[in-house]
Amino acid sequence: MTATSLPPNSAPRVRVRVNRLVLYTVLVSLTGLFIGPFGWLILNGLKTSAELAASPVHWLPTTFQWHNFADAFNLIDFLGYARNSLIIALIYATLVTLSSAWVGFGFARLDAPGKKTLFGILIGSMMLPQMITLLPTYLIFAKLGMVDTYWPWVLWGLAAAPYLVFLFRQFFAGLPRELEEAAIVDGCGYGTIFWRIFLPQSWPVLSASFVIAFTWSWATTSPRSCCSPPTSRRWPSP
Amino acid sequence: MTVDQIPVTGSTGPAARADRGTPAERPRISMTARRHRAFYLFTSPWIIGFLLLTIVPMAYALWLSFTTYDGISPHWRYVGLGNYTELFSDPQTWKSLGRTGLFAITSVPLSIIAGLGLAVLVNRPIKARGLFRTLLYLPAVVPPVGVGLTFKALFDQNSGAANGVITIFGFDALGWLADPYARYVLLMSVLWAAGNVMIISLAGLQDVPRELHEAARIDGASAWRTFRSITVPLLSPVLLFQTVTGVIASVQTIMPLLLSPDGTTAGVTALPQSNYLYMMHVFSQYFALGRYGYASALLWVLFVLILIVTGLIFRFTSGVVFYNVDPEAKK
Amino acid sequence: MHPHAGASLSRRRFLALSAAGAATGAAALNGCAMQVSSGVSGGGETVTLMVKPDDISPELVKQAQKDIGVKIVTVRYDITKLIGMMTNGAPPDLVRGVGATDAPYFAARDVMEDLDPYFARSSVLRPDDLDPVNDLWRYDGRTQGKGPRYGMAKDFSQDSMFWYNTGLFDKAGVDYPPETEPVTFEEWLENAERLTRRKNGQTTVFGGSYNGVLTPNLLASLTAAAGGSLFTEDFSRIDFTTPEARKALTWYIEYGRAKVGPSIVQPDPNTWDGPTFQANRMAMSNSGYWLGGLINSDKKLAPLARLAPAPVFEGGQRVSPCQAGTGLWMPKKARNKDAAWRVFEWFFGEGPAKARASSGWGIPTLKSLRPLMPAQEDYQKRVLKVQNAELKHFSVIAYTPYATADSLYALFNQEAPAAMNGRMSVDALAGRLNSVMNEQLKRGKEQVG
Repeated sequence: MTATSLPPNSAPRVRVRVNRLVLYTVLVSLTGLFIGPFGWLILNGLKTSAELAASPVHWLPTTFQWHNFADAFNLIDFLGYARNSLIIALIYATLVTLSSAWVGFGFARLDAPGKKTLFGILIGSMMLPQMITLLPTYLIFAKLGMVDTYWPWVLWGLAAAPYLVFLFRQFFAGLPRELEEAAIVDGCGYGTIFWRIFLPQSWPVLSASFVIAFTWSWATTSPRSCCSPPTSRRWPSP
Repeated sequence: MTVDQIPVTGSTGPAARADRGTPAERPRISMTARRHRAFYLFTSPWIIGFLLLTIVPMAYALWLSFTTYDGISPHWRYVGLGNYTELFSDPQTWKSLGRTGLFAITSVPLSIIAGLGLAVLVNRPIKARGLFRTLLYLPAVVPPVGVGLTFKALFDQNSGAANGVITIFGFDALGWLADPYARYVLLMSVLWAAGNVMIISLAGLQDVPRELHEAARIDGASAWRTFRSITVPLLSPVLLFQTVTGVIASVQTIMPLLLSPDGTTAGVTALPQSNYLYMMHVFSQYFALGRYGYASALLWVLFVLILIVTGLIFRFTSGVVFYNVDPEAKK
Repeated sequence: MHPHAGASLSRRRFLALSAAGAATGAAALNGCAMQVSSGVSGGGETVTLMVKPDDISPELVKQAQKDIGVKIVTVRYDITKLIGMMTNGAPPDLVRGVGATDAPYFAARDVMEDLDPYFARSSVLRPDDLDPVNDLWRYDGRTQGKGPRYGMAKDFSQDSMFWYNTGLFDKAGVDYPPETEPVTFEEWLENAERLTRRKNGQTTVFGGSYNGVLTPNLLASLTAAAGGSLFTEDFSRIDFTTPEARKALTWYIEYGRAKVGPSIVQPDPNTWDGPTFQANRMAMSNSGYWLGGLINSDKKLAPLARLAPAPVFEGGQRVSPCQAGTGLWMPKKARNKDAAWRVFEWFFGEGPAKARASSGWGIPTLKSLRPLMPAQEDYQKRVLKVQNAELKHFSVIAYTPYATADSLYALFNQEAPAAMNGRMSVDALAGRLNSVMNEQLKRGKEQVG
């Protein structure tokens, strides 16, 4: 939608220019609004605690307290946390994205008796308040000797996440039917269809899913962290 | 992984494989059976995981909900439906449930509109598109605890940036984190993460065939009409997804607690009334009062309620959502 | 939409492999590279501590390895995880706890190890050297303060005392409180109102903060100061309608209504007085000696800050309890008790204890360590004088074993805002509190048996 594709008429050209001006103004101010809070956090991070507690508000630090960041680093085993968190997040996000795509394909493109019920259960299980599983989950992994290891994350990853399954199911269901029909005619198995045809079409969702899953595990508070390595708590509790 | 062999072996076997005719020539039973087996194969990771480790904790919680268990005391006992009759006569149950409903009804549509709007905006051919997308999405990856800290810092009555701005213009500072404003801060904290809706919608938008837009433009359709008649229907599966998961998430959110200056478990009960949502009531019973049994009963009731609401959403949208391949249709 | 809540949705699915995992055996996994805990080093023992991050720093963990050859593994304190670990029969070897409230609670549920035999053998922690504050960790099956020792406090303060900022007193033209004689609570509140400064809907100076450590202990302490007792003699009931408890409650609600300091109706975003006091925005802070740790580190604030005795009620008694006494206890089912005791001795009586004593963040819990308390500067000597005089009035105010402090605190938070906002009378509140808190106590008593 560039100016060149328009007829050589000056009125629309001006309108396009005004439109673009409006567009960028909106875009820049929205972006400012969204990242503004980060700016405030960084400023706060550079203040002394007295400046932080000042009233009325103390906008800029008198001297930048860079050591605050180093202190936070030293106060908790930051590198230990970060490394553990990263490993967990990578393992989990990769596995759960692939497994959810796999399961989502089944729900979108295949059918069998009981499919509707199973899908209902899948959606239903998403509604289960996670707190309900707090204690039993811990006890189960404790019995398996997996508390304080990465194993629970591997298992959670392989098990697919209903939220992501649902996401992939919605996405795959939107792709044209011809995609697999041709492949079936060629005698491809569904595994091949999934792997060779559907996955390569799905980069936007795959990356969205990966990022979402990554932030989940990165941001996890309880109950999963109950079963994670001791140093994997990333955030001090509220 | 030998992906391409999985559905073949055991479903149709080498014999069927050798028989490479057109689908019409193949025995119909074999085709159907093949689809069925493939379906179970594809869904099995989730099914097995669900059976082993979701059903068990759920059943455990159901059993707890019939007891007075508090995690540590030795003499807890079975009380039958006692917890359930108590919760139905507890005014807090109903009040907090009402607030939760209100929160879901306002926060879900607002998030979707905001996220969809952002998606449409950054889907246009603009400069530094990747940068804008990243910056707008950034807040969505902030962990909830981080969101809570950020908003508390922004909206603190005496030292926050929001009141700093307000007082510059000569207005009196507001108690943002208390009633009646706390609910708006909660809403803002949810909208801050609209980038999450944005990226999912973006994935859907990129999927909308370009030719459709071209065709609409040639037909002289306005941008709004194109959006309403082409983009929205094609995005409808994604929008349904956003609605359902949004409702579930908003019902289960613990954001009110994270926005409370006193974020301790015992502080839950001191939250601004408007932010004392159902999950906060559960929190206070579970963590502060140690009533695992009663809290489990509350959670089970919530579970059943969300189930019903979601069922209704699916029912009312079944004719509206547009699929290229209807996943619910019989084949 | 909300990735966090989304996370909660997905957060419980695990799978197939858990079956495989169970079958191929937890045993196989234990030794493998995926095991995260780095295990024992140098042939020494490993002791698991469930603590909060600022209880034991990473440096201290290294120091333990050097000093006593024990490897400390820390697990973040989380009550649900603790319950999970105990239910599973594998609790941590030492757990952090608040003596004032956790000691009777856990002791009554029989999950704590009686440490008397260990104390009897110890050359580091001798009973005659223990400060009376450690009695908070004693419980005889009925009353706190007597009977076997179940833990020890790492340091303590007399939490009804308060610090004041002479600079703000001068500015407001208010007389300083006397050095060693207590003011009455009424005088305290009056001063707080005169010291408070407001502008544009913001409180720029809080006249005074008075919230104790945890509200239930605060209320019990206030009631004791009024000459009564918040709990009945067997601790199975609470009563806010006795004249003394009512006096205490009325005062605290008045304090909340006056909005002269943080309270549940205007909570402090920092959750403690330190930053506000340090910013010269709080004239009086109800914090014990420990706040000196912060004050000493601020060369501008230190000469201005003074400590004052715990206020009293007219016609009441002079009491100055410790409302926390945070320390460690040993679960009965701990697997590594002897090594855990070695860590216990080291933590409470050796290097770390000495470092704490000289830091000013609290009074040491061993009498022999008192000379280490900071007393170089004039202002430190002045504070120490007030503190030493106050020690005479120390007493243990026993807490009920039938409800956690958190639960009574939560119930107070649920009912009190209406009264603090003026929508409910104190008498109505006292009735409500009696009813909800006694219900919780009844449930607890029934379950302890």
